[in-house]
Amino acid sequence: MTAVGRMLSGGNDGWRGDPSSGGLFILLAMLTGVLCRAGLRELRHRLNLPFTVLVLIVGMMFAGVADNTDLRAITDSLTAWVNIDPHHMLFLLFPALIFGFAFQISFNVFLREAPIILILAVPGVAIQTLLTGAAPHTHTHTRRCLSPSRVVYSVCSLQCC
Amino acid sequence: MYVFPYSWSFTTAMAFGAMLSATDPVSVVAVLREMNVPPRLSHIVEGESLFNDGTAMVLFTVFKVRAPG
Repeated sequence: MTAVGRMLSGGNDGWRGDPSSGGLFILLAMLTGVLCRAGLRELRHRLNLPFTVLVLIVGMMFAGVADNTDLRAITDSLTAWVNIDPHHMLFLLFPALIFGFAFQISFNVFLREAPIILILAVPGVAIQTLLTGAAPHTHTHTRRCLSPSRVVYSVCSLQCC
Repeated sequence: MYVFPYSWSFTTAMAFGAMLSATDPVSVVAVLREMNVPPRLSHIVEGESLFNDGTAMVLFTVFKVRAPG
């Protein structure tokens, strides 16, 4: 089974590798990003593709190659990242995201936009959660007349009217 | 009606919704910057993407604690 398939089917229970081998993957990811950016700049007259789409395609190709052939250190490194504890993922990526945002925004701009950001981020996410959760819930409880999610749907459709 | 054949309870379905509502538009912000949209829009999208992680995490934890099984 491929590394991704293992992750989806059983989590990281069966994996007994060396987590420190993951460092190579970060370097490879940075190299891939730089190469994509440079290649896109060179071929910008012939290849009209957004940078993020190209990175996605190259990353999928990279994962396919590393998963089906044994590239030793590279495959080990990729497996270490695939089997990472999801909580570690959050703590690895979140500080970098916050730093990146804080580094480029000015505090005054943020204060000016704070009400909109907070409206979108707190009640907006709550509404989104209700609607996303209501879809599977109404699908499973269609026979009940007054399920909570049906009430949510009714309220939302009233709001839309 | 065979889209979600799991018979989830309300709290389980809401925990699922909280999981999916924490979007992280790193690539969206990159595209916005490439397309030269007004900086105000990209600031709002970026700031929202930072704060919705916190809200979604709180919601998910609340529904996960209350979910049966």
